Amino acid sequence: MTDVCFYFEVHQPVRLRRLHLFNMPQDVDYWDHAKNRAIFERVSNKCYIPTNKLLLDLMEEHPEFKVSFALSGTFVEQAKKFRPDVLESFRALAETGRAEFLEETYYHSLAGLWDDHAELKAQIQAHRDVMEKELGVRPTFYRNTELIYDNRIAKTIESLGYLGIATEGTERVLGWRSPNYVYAPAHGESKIRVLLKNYKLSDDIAFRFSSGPTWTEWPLTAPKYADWLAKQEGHTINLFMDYETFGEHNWPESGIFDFLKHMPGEAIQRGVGFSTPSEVVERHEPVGTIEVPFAISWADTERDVSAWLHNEMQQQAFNTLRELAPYVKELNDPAITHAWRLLQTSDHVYYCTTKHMGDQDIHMYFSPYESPYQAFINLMNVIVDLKHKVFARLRR
Amino acid sequence: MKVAMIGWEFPPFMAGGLGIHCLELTTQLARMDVDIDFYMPHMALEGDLRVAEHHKHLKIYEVEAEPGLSPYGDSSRRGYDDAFNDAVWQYNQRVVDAFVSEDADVVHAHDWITYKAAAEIKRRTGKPLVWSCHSTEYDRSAGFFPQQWIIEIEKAAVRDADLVIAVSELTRKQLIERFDADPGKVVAIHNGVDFSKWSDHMDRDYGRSNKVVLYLSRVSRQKGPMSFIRAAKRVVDRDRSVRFIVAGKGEMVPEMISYCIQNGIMENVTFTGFVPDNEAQRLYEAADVYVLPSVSEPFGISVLEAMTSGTPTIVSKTTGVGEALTHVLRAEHWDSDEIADQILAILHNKPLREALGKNGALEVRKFTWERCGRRTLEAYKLAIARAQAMKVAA
Repeated sequence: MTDVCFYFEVHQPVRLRRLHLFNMPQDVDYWDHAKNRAIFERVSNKCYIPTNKLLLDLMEEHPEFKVSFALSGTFVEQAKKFRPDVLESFRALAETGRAEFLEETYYHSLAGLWDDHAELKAQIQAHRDVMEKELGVRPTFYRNTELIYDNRIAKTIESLGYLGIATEGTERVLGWRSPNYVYAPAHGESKIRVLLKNYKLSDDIAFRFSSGPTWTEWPLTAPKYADWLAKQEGHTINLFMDYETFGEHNWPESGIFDFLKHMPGEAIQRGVGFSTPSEVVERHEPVGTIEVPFAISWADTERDVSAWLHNEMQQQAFNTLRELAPYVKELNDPAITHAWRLLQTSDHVYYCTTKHMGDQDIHMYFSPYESPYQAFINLMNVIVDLKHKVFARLRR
Repeated sequence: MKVAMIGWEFPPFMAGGLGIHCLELTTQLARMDVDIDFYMPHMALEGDLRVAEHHKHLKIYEVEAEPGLSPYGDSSRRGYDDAFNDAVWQYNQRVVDAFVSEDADVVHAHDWITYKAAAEIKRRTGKPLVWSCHSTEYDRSAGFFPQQWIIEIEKAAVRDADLVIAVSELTRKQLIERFDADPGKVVAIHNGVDFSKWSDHMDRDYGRSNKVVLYLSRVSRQKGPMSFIRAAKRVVDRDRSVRFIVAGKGEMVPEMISYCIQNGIMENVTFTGFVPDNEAQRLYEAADVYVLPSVSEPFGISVLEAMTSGTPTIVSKTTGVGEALTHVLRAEHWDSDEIADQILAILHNKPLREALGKNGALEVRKFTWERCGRRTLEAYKLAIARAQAMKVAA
């Protein structure tokens, strides 16, 4: 029988406040504390708190039930500051022993796409530290920002000793093959395993649940979905999604909480079990290899990295930040390094997209800016300001 | 379908915004098999010259009128004098007397200046009345001593017309909020652009920046030129090589010059005075940024002209056309720091310049006069239905 492997991404970026050249701070405090707090409060009340409670109840009710999470460092940092109770409820989940916490970069960054992976490794280490300190866990499975994955990233993550890495189960990589099996990267003698998101079944919950009568399967009920799960073949059904699926992207009125409440029971009744990512890759041998020379991700219809690097504005911001690396390192000032890394959070360039078709709407839904151009101007103003401050300090 | 339209000016002799609108609109309506009787004043100044001889797509009735001034022509005169007001009333009276379009299905008037005649025709004939609002007195005065008696006419038009066409959602909202319009009665229909007048510049080179920032509009309080010049000061403080062009004439020029002198930026600012279309085209091409910081701009057609030329554009949030554009930068009209920041960002970042310019040039293509005509025809049908429903209810 095939197990469900739930993994929820829990991330909040630290958003910038509107800064123009005439109101730059003296220090590197570029952040919109009020807005970050307001959003964190809202999402905590609508999603994190009620969903965590529901999952704890489900674990009590069903000894078989398991989930996994990846908490970005920027999320943990803001939870500590704004809502310690949210962090506390994740600790309670960790203590059950049935919630696996995955590694990622602390800053939810695109450092995996840099030629030099030293920065990626540093950000993974920062995440290790915060997970151990705040949740008392040492992750063994890695998920990269937005499931961005390529051969190089897999190699680096393997070298760090992780059991597995998650990515998108796109046909571009799988061809005719099913995402429901354990795979290995194409490089020879690889020890690391790859889990691929079953995007059809994941997106049924994450994106189509509230779509209304335009979707022929609407409304999606727990028994119906459990029937689909029971029909799946393979090692694992990888249901990967943003945690905000519950209560934020799908409102409570959509019935999403009822769905989540009843789905595990219905699945267990039909003989479907639950596993965490590390359990899956320890239990099963890979059935084949995947070859990914160009980065893939779970974003947009292209499932590549164009959501962040499609246009030249995004590339300029990305490159300017990357080129600062040696100077930030040389200066070695904790506050400046932290600010520089917070600017690397992928959301900042995500807001700058100008892709026309369809996806523009979802980008703008998440964006605190009124247009991608305003997002770029603000981001570039801050990056250039940081650059000037770094150079000024080095010259001294 | 037949419409009796009451206008104020019509090309080729008078080519203000309203005249161009009426020409483009009637051309499109004629293509959709709408018959048009067009009433307009014949100014004594024009002598024997007849507008009607220049157009075949509509029947023009030129009504003798005193020489007067277009409300859109000369902004240096705030507060129309008595002679002008008399000329307007006389014209409206004479339109009523000259009205022969007994077979028209609908009467269509533009702005306060033609409304009185339309109202009287409606009273006498019972024909449905459509009133187009291109701007209100609040817009034209930018809140600076609006004339109450004009507002009263606009209020009457909003109250008594069977349907009101606002030139943007921004204006529609203003009519609902400040003129108590029934929301169901007001539709927003955007103007179009005649793209043939403006060469497209998809091959424009964004690699080099001329560091030229353009203001091209009437230099009147309504258009926010002081915000532009205050932003110029902010920019020049950061980058002395940036040049600013103020193209257009208007009552604010002296105040702007005085500001430039007092703030030591006169060397960076060029005042060109009025520029004809062909020169405007060259200015749009030369400029890295076009800025329209209007205090209150019902539509803002120059924004579309600049964007057609591939010029990155900044508009105030109180500019109607901005509501329908993605590929522009928007700022509060009073926020010259924000405007200055946006100008500097465009001048200093090629990717931004190029994305705004190229995407903007494509985006403006949706503003066709064909669409404006089609939606106006729909508005006529809606007005007729509404008038019918009113009669039945009565």
